[in-house]
Amino acid sequence: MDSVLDIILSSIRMATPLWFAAMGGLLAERSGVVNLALEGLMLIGAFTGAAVAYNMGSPVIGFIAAGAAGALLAILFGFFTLTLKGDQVVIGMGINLLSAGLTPFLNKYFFHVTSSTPSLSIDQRFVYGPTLFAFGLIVSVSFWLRRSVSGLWVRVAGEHPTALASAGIRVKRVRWAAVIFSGVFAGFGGATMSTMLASAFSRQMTAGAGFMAIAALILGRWAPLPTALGCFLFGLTDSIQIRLQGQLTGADSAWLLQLIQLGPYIVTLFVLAGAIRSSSTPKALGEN
Amino acid sequence: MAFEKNLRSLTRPLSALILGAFVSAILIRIVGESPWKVAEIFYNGAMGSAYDLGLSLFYTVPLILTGLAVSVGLRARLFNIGVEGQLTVAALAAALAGIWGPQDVILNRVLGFAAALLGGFLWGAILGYLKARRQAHEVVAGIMLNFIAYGITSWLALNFFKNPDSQNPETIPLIDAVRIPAWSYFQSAPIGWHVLLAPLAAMLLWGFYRWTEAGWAMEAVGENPKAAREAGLSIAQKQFWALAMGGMIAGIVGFIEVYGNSGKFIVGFSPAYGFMGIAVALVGRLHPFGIILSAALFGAIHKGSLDLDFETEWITRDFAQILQAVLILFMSCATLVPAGIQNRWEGLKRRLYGQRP
Amino acid sequence: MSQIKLRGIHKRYGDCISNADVNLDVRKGTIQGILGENGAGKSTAMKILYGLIEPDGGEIWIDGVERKLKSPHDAKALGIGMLHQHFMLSEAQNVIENIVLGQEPTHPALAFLPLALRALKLGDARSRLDMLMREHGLPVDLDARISDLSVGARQRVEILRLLYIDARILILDEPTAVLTPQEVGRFFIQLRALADQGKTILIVTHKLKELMAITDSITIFRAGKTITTVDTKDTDADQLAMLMIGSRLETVKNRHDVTRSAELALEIEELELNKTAPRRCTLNLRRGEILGIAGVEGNGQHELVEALRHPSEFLKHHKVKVLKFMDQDVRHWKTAQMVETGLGCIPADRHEEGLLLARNAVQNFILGHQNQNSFRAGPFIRWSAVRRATEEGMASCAVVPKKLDLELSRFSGGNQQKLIFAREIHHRPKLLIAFHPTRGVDIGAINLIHKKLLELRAEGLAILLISSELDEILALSDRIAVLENFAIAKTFDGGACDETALGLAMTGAQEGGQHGL
Repeated sequence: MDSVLDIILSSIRMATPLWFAAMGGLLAERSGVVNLALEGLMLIGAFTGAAVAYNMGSPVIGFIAAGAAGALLAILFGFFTLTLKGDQVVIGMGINLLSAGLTPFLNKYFFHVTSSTPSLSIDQRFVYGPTLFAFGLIVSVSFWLRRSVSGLWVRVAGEHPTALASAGIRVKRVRWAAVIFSGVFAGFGGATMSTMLASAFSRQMTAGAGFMAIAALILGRWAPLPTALGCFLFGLTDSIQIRLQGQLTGADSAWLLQLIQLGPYIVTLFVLAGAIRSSSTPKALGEN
Repeated sequence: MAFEKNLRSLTRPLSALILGAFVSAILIRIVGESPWKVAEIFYNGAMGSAYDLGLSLFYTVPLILTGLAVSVGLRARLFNIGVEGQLTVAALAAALAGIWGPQDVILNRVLGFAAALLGGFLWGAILGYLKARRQAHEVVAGIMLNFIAYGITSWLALNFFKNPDSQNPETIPLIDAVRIPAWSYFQSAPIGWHVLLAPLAAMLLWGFYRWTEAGWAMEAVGENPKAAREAGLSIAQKQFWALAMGGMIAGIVGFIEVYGNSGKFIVGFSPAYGFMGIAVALVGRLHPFGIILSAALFGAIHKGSLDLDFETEWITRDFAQILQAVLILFMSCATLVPAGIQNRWEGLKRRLYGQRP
Repeated sequence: MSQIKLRGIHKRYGDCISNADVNLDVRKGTIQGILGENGAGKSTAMKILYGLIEPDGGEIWIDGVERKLKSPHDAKALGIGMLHQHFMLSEAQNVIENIVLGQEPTHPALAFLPLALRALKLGDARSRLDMLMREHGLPVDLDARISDLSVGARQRVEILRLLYIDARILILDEPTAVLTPQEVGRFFIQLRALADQGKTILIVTHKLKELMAITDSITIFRAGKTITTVDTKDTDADQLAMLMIGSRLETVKNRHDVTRSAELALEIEELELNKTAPRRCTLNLRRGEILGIAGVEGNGQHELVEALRHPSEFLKHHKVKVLKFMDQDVRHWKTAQMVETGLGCIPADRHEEGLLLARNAVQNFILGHQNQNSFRAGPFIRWSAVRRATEEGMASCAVVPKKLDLELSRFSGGNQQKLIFAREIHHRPKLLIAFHPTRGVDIGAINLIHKKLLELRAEGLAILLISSELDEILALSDRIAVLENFAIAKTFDGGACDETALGLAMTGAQEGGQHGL
């Protein structure tokens, strides 16, 4: 029984960054903006979180800084998609590439190496703070989306933007706000990776987590609670994978290790193949 | 008219390049280096000698192919991010065919080439199936397939075909006879006749879109899927082929790597050719010949950036990635001038010329 | 004094001038009609008045004060409300959320927060809406999702919204397009009552009869300009038509003098158009016959065309007893096969379904006919043959400008439609589906298309004419079938039928008075 509880707890830990990112993705996508930049937003958050936590000696400040860094990059994303009307998918991937190039560049500038930030001590790291915060965030997003004025705006912006404009509300402003907040949340997700799950930022450490968050969003049909469950599924795969790795230490089974590491990616692929796009997809998703 | 149109299609890539260079120069300044010095390093690194030029060409060739592969997807309005995985699988397939195949030079090469095409096709076809038949998001699925391709190929290579004589993560080498000899002009840079495969592919693709029904249909599906459906074209079928064909083109990279360069499958041989293909395709405006030009540019940038690690204190090869990203951003927005400023400009023009509509 | 005054409004999009010089005066408490052909600039002018489009120049005066309307927000603040031709309702949300959008009632305890962050409090809105619904006879279920509502109910929601925001000036853009003649009558009674309460109403339409019935005065638009405003009581439909098109309307009419062949082109028996509908659709169509399909939009027109265009796909999810085209069982056929056997189709929405707007005329002329033998040599397209065909097609249907290499988006709507028409008849089809064949095109193109349809029918073509313009159906059809609730409610002989009879059949006899507004 203990081991089941262990697995669940570790799944929750592993799912935490995904929860942040997925809530960020949910915000953007419900407002009609495809945000494939989540991966890059997380990466810059992971770097900023670890770097600031190291320099300031406080994970909380690092966490906040990560949100700000995510917001900054999200503003760039918004500028190219909303102001210059670029293709959201391509711009999203461009932002990912930018983040992938910028993080080692900054790492080198601040810490003289490109590979990783210096390792954080225990008191510079989180134990479970972000997880609790993520719980709160999921519940609030869920309520906010259904019960608040701006939640209604965001929903209509993603479904029928001209209806929103015609009701006298500026669609662009709503989308801008959604995009910026999605950057903040994704930044939080990245910081969770580098200051809670790991003890430093390392090169390309997000390893597809941003895309898994999007897969969870598709699986959860763009609704907060089911999306969070989808993230948990990925967390579960991850923690099982890690557990199996721990048990397969013998030389005979070393060859299996690599395959087991692919577990989360394969699960994501099956999720994508199984979750056929439904009527709950925001109708105006991806339109300019 | 035609000349004017060509000129107009060049303005966007050129302005994006200028903006990209400008942004890079600012970043370089910020970290306290001299942009001129970096430019010089780029220039010398890319074409300082015949050998450097050869290496630039060496990077250009795969970029032409991945750029073409990405462009085939984009013309059908699909973002084929899985090119990286496709060329990885193709390279392993080529290496295995080379190891196992008949040791006759011609047969072995033909088999290796076919295996590379097939490997790339297969990995592209999986993505195509997921997109066309299961409506999976092609970007997310493509990323996942890249991770899986990397994992599976290195697992296969290292557990079953590992080179016992080497510490590096690589497979048993092909026999020397089947490897394509390098031309002497570029000194020891691995440039042989195989590099002609890339412009050949570009030419074939150009003809494909210009003359064949299948090419026309693939673009029609991308431009207006609803109208294409009304016209009796199967959207799913065209989407599948756009991704699978992209995989096949990417597969040639695998053949070139194995037969033209290393003679074996090396884990992680690709410096992200597949991702660079996105910028190449966009800057080349999805036109096969434009892609050749932009691949040459990106090949030179990549080669030039490799020297940054040694010759500057703060700037590393990652810098090339930033430059690519900036170009992607500038190339893919509908306009480089925000609508508000545009309107004001139009208003100003009207006032200046005193036109009333 | 006029409540609304527009002076010299102009607006252009690139090369295309949408409004050249619009001047308008509307008195308070009156109903003013806005009449004009499609593309005359009516909708643009109304959108400018509602703040959705910013004009390039000109003045807008409301209640004697000059105003700049930068967004609908500004317009709403002045009490202007608009009922759009295409409903501005978000389908995934429910009725009440759509109604309060932009005027959200919030919890008073949260008033210190910015509006965006406050919680919704729908209770107050609900009681007010209940009252409005009773007062104006507009029943809707406030908690229903928009996607579950009928077209008529959606329009009630839109009107309810105008009442909810207490608009003083109502702009109605083609409000009757989705209503049957009987529903239109009831709708007009309600409009008159609103005007009597002091509301000012602008009603945009291209239907002359309706304007004569409801308005106090009528402003005529032609080519982006307001030509004149006339008092309704001093004018008649003929004069309006003259003003609208600048010349006398010459109408094409079926004289019922062609004997149709006995050969069936199309045979449909018990086709299920909608799973929840109680009845199925049965109809047949002979060669050399025009069968008009009348009906309120959303009663199965799209599904019928889907079934004929993509039988194998459609019948995966729907049942049918017999589906025969040119005497062949086509239940498992794909689109390409239907086209090759001789099915032509003018789609309802030419931009979405019929054209590649960024391509030239030649590239568009092959669309849908890419498998024609004359256009192909193995896997290759014979572009020279396609060019020749395009040239012929453009000449025969008078498409201008006659530039084969011009991007399709640069042609006017009428010429785009004529090009589609030319394309679809070029390969001598056996059956032509004409789905809203003249929607949004100028009178010249309408006449040409109507004339061609009658000619082709005389040559033995079977034509399925689906249209929301009853005039068009009455003028052209040999037989008229009324599609109501996904089944054929009644069939008439073309010569022996009028609008009232059609209208009655369109409402559905069994529901009678409860339908619609």
